[in-house]
Amino acid sequence: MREFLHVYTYVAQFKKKMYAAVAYITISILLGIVPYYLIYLIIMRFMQDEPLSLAYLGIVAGLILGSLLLRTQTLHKGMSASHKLAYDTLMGMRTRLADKLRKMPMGAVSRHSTGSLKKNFVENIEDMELMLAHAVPEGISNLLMLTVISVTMFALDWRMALLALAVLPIGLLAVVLMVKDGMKRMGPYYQASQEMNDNIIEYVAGMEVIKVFNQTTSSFQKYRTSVENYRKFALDWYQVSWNYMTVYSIVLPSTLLFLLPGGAWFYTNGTLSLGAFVMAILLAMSMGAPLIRLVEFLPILPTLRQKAQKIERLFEEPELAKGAIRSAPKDYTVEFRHVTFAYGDLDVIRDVSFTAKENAVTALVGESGAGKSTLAKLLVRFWDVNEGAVAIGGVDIREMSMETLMKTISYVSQDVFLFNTTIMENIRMGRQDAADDEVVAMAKLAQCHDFIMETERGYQTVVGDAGDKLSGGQRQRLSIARAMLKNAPVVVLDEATSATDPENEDRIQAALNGLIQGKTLIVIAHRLSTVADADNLVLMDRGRIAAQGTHADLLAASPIYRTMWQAHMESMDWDLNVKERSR
Amino acid sequence: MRFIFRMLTLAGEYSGRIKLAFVLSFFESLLANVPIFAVLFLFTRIADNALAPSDVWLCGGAMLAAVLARCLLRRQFVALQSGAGYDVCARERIRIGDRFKRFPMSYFTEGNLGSVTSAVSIDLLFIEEHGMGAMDKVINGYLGLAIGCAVLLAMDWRIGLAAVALAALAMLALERLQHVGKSHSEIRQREQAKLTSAVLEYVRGLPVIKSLNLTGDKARAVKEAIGSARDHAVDYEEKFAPPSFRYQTWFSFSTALTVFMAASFFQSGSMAMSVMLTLLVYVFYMYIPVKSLATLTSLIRVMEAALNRYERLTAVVIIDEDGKDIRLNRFDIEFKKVTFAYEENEILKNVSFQVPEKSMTALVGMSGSGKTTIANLIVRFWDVRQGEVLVGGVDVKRMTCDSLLRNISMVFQNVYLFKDTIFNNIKFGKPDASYEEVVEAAKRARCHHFIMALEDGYDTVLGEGGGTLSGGEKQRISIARAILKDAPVILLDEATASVDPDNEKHIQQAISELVKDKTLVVIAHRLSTIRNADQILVMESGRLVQQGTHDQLIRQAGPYANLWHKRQTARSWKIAAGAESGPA
Repeated sequence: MREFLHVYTYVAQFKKKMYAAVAYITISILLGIVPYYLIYLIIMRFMQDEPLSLAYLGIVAGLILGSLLLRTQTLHKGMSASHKLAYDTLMGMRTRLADKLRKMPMGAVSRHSTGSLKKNFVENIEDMELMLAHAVPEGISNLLMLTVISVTMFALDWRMALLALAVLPIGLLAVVLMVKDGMKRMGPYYQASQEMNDNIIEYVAGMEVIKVFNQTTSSFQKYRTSVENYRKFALDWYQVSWNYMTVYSIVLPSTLLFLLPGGAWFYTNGTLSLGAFVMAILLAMSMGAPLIRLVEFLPILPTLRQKAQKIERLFEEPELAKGAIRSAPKDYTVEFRHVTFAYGDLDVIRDVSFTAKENAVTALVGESGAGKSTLAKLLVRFWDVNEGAVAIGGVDIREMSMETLMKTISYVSQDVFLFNTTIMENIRMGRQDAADDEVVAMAKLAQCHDFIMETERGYQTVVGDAGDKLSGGQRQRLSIARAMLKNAPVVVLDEATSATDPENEDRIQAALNGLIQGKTLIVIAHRLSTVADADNLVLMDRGRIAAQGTHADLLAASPIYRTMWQAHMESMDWDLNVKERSR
Repeated sequence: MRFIFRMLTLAGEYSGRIKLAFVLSFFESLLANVPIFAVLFLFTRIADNALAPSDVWLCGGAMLAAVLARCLLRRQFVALQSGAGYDVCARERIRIGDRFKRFPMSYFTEGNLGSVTSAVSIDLLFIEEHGMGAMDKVINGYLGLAIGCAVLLAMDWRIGLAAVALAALAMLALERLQHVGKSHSEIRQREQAKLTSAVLEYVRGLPVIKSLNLTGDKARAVKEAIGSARDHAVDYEEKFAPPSFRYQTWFSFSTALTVFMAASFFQSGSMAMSVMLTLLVYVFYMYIPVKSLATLTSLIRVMEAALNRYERLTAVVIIDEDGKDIRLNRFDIEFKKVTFAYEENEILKNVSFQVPEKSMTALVGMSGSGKTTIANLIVRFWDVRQGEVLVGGVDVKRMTCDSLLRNISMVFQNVYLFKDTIFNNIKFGKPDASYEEVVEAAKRARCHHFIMALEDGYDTVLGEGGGTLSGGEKQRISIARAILKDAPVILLDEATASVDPDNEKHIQQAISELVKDKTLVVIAHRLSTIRNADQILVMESGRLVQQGTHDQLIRQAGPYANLWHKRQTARSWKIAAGAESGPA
């Protein structure tokens, strides 16, 4: 329940609409009873053998029509109010989620897959509509109506009220048993469903491998088993719940089951007037629908609860602390001071200290998993350090405003993201007040101009439309042009960037050369030969600095570096051979 | 109504069960009228002043029997109907899964993967959970109305006729309502899609958004999409209300009119009291199921959209319909005047070449020149437009995919590993391999060491897409898989080796093991690796422009020599912060 109440904190600002919705729906339900009362009047007049004028009948029929029309109208009004309330609330939740993601450390965001974030954003929040627009306002109104009718019936004849309500315990028992049984069987069912979905995704995503290794039999077998399992668990559950469902869906609206014979008996006894009998029948009949509506919401609640939980958990994630310093640092020397960082339980970085000077190249080298990229990510506050500090121009980056920090650093990585807008706008994002010709100048420097001009609409080509037509290398160069326009004094570069498009490596290299002039440059280096001339190489080994110095220093001092250099030289000279090499 | 036919077609052999369920459901809804007749019966007796205790017992007994019978009937038809839903969808999932293997590979593009999986998981799920129930409600709605009118006609033809006329008007209103529903549900779907893509762009682009300080701008973009989704959703509810109101109005008319007619007929003596009393009660009952057709329309729209998406999938033409199971005894490859086009773009133009058995052929050219397409045509992921691709002297179109691919291994940049143990992932190359064979393959692919360093060794379960391993390690496992398969023909993307520059050497060693004594076709990026190739094919915008060994080609002036020189400069690139702006 806590999760639901939480969802309602978003509703609070729309209280008025909530009251309006409940009021309208209740009025509409009450209007639904008016015709029954009118019918009762007619019948009583007939029973007393009073002749009725056509005009009187006409008026009554008119009143019935009027109340029915008004009922539909108020119901629509009520539903419209509750839908507005629901959609406003969804909008509020989504907006808050968008802000939340922005405030979370990027590292924490990246732990969620894009798919699951999207699911929370779109589907899970959407599903709250069912609860906000339907379950609650309708639930309240139906409950109100049941109360009103029951009270009326008790006032009319308490025996009839009890007879009408006699179906309630039977129906409720069925509902309770069903929910109880569902709790037990829901687990295996959802697990089987999850397994099936995973298998479907894997089967489709791995189709190339499946085809090439023509292992169609075994992987298909796995897929097939999960499909059949899912059906089995679904039916296992439903076979039982159908029993209960059948019972309550038939018994609950059968309010006449006991009332009709009972009433007839009281009538023969002379303890019940015909008028009261007729009235009781009509009232009892109007109880069926709200009873069913109320009960129908119950089985959906556990699933909704799960989804509300997921959304809530996202809202509860910690946010990145905000820094206050807005002025630019006095210089752009980057300093790591005794930095330690753990990711989960794993120490990823241990006591790392080094300085990257202005207008100099600092290269981070080491095997994969040694911590090179993590260091770069700490600098852009993808995560925050656990101990020590990262400083630019002597200022701890945690004390800088995010805006200032981001203005200071450009991070060029292998993952390029272009927005679905024109090429011109994509580059201009580097500096929003840049004029068109500045953008074009940067595109030329980043070796983009030629291929941009080859596209149909030049700089006005929308990236999404160009789709696959832009090669990895071209996208990479566009992102470099963007970074060049931004012209940040500190550049973090993943050197593997240059290999994104091996056929165009020379062009990417030329583009990068344009970007890094005169900056504080930190390179995550993979191919050692590219950074052999760096001013300082920081050799990482399992999260620690193993050695530091120029290429020559390291060759002389570090056995690890010597081995790496040798392996690199060999791999540069690799030849493919189908025959044993005759050397 | 069309929706019902479509569902029955989908059901195929299960449609009999579903129809039986409809019959049971029909009787169940007939029995639902028993209380009304009990009321009629009692009032007749009361009017005749002849109500006896036995009548009360009879009436109570009949109602109880009806409820019990309804329970039995409903339990039966729900099981038949909804059970059939699950059976149908399980069958469809297996059937389409079987067909996937024979789809042209070009179908499984990056952009398509999502829609393919969601058609099988989400769309079919929606159909199995709601399809049968919706169908039943539709049929019950129409049937209920028909039965109701028939009952009215039987009780009093004048009232019956009036009810029929008003019902016809209501049906016209329903038609209009469905029309509105259709056009708006399209808008709504489009809004939903817009919201999804805005959210995806925001989430994927978040690192860039932050680093370029675009939070204001881009957050506004996603908030606009959120706002517009809300506006359209509210708009939909609002546009839907008036036609829905008009639809309901006809039934309100009908109800009021029936009350008026019945009362005045009784007054004028042309109707018995019992009939009048029953009519007054019944008329409030009979329109409930048909009224719910209004709210069902949007559900049915969604379901039809789901059906459309799924049917589009079943309509894909499979590639090896006429293929035969052919066993090859030689493994050379030949392209004879091959032309291939993807949609409008010609990607290969009249390409001919031969790859002798156990030789190495390298494909060279700028990206987009057609190198990868050649590899895709050999494994028949796509089909040629003109010309022939022959493997072992047999046109690949004459073989089933299975019998062709048995002979070929592919090692490409994008590695896919299954969410299974490392052992099973390697064994995938040869299902009947022994433990020793798997380990031997892992050793040759330079995997054994890092596998043994893992806590669970070969039994380590990999995450989705190979989560826990580095790119290079994943790549080597995929090579172990290929080594185990030991196919005579290898297609290799050489960039594979640079997936993980830190571990390049290990991957290179693994590849060298794999290609020994095979017919090798390599897509080459770094020309240095193919100096020993038996032939190099140089591609330029879909044409084969040069052909020869490295030594021959390097001496000719032409694209190969140009590429070679460019590569040499790129190779010696060094990063230096002040290198070009001034003296270092």
